[in-house]
Amino acid sequence: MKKLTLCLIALALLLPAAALAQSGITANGQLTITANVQSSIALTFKDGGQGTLTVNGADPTQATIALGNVSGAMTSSSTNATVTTSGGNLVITSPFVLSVTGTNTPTTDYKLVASASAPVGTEKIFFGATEITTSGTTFNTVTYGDTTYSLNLQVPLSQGPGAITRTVALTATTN
Amino acid sequence: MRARTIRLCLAVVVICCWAYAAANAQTASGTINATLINKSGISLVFNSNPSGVPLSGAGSYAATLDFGTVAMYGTTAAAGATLTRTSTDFTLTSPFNIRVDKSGTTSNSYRLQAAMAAPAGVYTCKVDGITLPTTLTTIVANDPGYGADVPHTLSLTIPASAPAGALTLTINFTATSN
Repeated sequence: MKKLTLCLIALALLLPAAALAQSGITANGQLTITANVQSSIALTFKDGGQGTLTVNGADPTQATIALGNVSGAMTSSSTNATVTTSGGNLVITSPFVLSVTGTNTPTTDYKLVASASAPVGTEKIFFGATEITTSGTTFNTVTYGDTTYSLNLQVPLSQGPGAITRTVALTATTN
Repeated sequence: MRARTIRLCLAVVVICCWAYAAANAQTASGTINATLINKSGISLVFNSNPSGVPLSGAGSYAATLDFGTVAMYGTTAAAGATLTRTSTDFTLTSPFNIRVDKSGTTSNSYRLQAAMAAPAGVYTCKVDGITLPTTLTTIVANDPGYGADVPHTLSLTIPASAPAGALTLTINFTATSN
């Protein structure tokens, strides 16, 4: 009888301890993530193969094409740009690649607007056969990806010698 | 003598009746038995991480982390979020805190699991670098951090080919005492 009583007391002491040590108790939570994804477009420059283009620092959206020293007697400039004369102009040509990526957009093409800074003299800038004006030249439908342009700087042979620096601002907009 | 005895008895009866009435008319009694069963339990709440995107609903078991307006290019991430890019997608990352409290248990660690409430489609959700499917996946097997905010990292990867628009994904978390 005494043993039975002791066993019962021990059991009574153990039961709460066992309950406290219980594992497998769960708690749940729910985390909702929201975002508003918008279309975007990125534009970068790459060299066209003649080595005239240099990206400005770590920003690939700005680049310089150095056409080098040229004269009417040259067929290539000091920086390897192609030099010809045509229609009373000295034509300096070098290709460059414009890389445009469209993201989170259903369109496959974009509109490109190129605006040239004011000329030093009467020289003109062309992308291929299309003149880039100071008021802005629009290329309405350009497919995303790499597009190679031939940059032509046409300097009248009548224009005096000197350095020419022109800037072309490019803006790509998703169609 | 007999009449005196009868009057005495009547007087006693009247006094007893009055005493009985007085004793019973204004007394009410009742008994209530209160029983407390101290059951074991744990709770889970989300809290904002000081370095991350503030949560709405912080301090509760149902919170929202809003990355705001995002784009692969041309935008900066919301305060507390970081934006990284590859050539094909971009990822938003933010720390957040989970706090698990316990009561009535001697458990000294818990297992944290998470799962997407619905398929994430083209998006990828990770917690602490672990990609979440729709089945519960263990994030931490033995977390001893009862009663304190434990930081975790949430990342959301959005492909460049994904459509623009509002995005809502839900992650279910479960903490289980070890």
